[in-house]
Amino acid sequence: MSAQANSEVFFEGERLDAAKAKIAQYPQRRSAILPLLHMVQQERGRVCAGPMREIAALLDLAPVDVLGTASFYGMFKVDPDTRGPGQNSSQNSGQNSGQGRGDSKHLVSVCGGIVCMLAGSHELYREILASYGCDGNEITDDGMFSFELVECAAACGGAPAIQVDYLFFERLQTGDAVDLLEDIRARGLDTVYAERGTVTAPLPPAAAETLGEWQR
Amino acid sequence: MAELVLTKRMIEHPDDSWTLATYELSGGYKALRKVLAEATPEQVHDEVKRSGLRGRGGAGFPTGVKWGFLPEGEFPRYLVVNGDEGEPGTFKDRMLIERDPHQLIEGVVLSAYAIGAAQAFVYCRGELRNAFKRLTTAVAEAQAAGYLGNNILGSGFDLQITVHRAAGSYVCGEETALLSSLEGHRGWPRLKPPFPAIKGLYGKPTIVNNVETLSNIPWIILNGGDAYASMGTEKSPGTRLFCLSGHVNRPGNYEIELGTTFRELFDHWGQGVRGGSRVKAFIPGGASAPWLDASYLDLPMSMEALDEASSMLGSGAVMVLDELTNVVRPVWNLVHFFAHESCGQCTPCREGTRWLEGILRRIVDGRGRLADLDLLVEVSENISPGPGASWPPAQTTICVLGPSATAPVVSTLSLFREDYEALVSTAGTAAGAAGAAGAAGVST
Repeated sequence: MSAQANSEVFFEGERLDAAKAKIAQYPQRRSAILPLLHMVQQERGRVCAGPMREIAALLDLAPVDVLGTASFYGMFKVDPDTRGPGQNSSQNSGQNSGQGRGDSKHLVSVCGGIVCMLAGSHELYREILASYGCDGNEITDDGMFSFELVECAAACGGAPAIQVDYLFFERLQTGDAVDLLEDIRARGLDTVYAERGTVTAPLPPAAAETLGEWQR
Repeated sequence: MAELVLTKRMIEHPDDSWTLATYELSGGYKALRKVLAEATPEQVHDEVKRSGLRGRGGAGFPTGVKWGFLPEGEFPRYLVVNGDEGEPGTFKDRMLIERDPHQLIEGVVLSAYAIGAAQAFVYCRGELRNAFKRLTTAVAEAQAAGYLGNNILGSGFDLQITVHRAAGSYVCGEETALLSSLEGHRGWPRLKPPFPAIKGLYGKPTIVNNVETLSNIPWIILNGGDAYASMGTEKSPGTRLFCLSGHVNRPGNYEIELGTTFRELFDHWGQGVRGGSRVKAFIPGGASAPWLDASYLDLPMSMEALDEASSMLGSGAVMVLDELTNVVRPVWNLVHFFAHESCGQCTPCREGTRWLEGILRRIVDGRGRLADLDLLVEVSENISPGPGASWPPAQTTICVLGPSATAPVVSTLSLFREDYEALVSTAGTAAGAAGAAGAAGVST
């Protein structure tokens, strides 16, 4: 995230109104930390130092308190610039590292959970990285996609599953994933999701079969 | 005769079961209208007690009994809905929120009325973007239609539902960690006692219930607690959602009467093991459950039967592994998960899960030693004291995450020791590399 973007005020105008409305929903202000952090990341792709200081001010907390809370959560890509001089910016492996959608247009999360792994998701992940020549950086050179292997994504009925900006695409075969991502590049995520995405977890079988069983 | 409690509407209206219009047309909010017009909170509570409904998040504690722990006369009190579905193998709460958010909302309002809560929070898993969107839309619809807010349906009862988006931490599915997170802190579990019913959110009396648990309440009110209790088994009444996955032909969510056997779940509902193979191992109830083998296929799926088998029904997540699979890499996957998700407060968990993960990784990578098998048990016993880290695991830690990590290790060492031995005995040789790669699912 650029230093300039970092210095622009985030919570002003409509966003400030939304933040205040959100804070008002909770008996204690501090509860609004997660919702406000989500607001920042939704727009900026990561949680940046400037907005975190603003959140601290809005909630009457110390800035380091906001940082200390945000850094616990795997979804938040915490801006490495928040760690002072001399501190390692990628203190964790994979999921909590500095890289996130803020560095790319889309975040591709491949489920590495046990059922998806049994269905080949770890190999799928390596194949995606290899296809894009990512070499462990987990972000494409053109900044289109960044990649992460995540914990069980609650899509076990549709293993192997991936998410693109947290929208599900399930029952992928190896080879399909890159085609899918290129389709997203060509036609946009919303269009491709409407056609090929998995909107909900698998439905139980048809009523006739299910209700019929109950007659025994 | 058993009926579908949770999934009837979504099966009959696959294209719009989540809309307010379809919900109302198919009997939705009838229970709420009935209760607010003619029933007291105590009557609602009694009906839930009669149903014998047990929590569907994993612990299986009787819901009506839990509600009764709230101290009299202490207000405000809160209802918190646990929608942080993160137990590996589980995907039912996602379906319930995506497909029938109004059913959940009605269950929440009825329950809040029963316990006297003026505000309810739904803590929704952050990565479930579509579920979160459907739920917030449904809450807005319900508010606009007068089922939420002040003086609901003219009853004088007020309720606000706040949907709170989580942010990627499995341990926040543990109720005290959830409350820490909801308060705006790092998701650190807290010691129990005091239990949330006594001292919960913001230090106030709080009931935490799972999404599926509360989704049952409208049906129970409309049909009666006795009708619910007439299904299932005596100690595990009703139906529940089972999340079937792994090496079956038809994985998915199935609403099934408790007491049905695993064999029926796999053969009838799952349409058998893929590729004509057979069940080698299955996990009966989520990542924390001790594994079982094919000799348990005729075990009824009830809490009491699983207790007796020294395992658990847990979140209803049933994962099947076929005869071609070496169990060690899947076990490594689960232990890696626990190690990653450990909040870090307690030494036995923080250090123990990392050691277990490292030893298992070494074995999977083909660098294991026979002595590692005893080492795995020894480390497990340091996390959860007692010979062989017995079941249920002894707990020296603030929450059960650490002890849970020992369950897959200890149970598979007991049932499938040969899988481990196959990987360590050939470690360091070409055959070992091939074996380990095979276990890793990578062709050499």
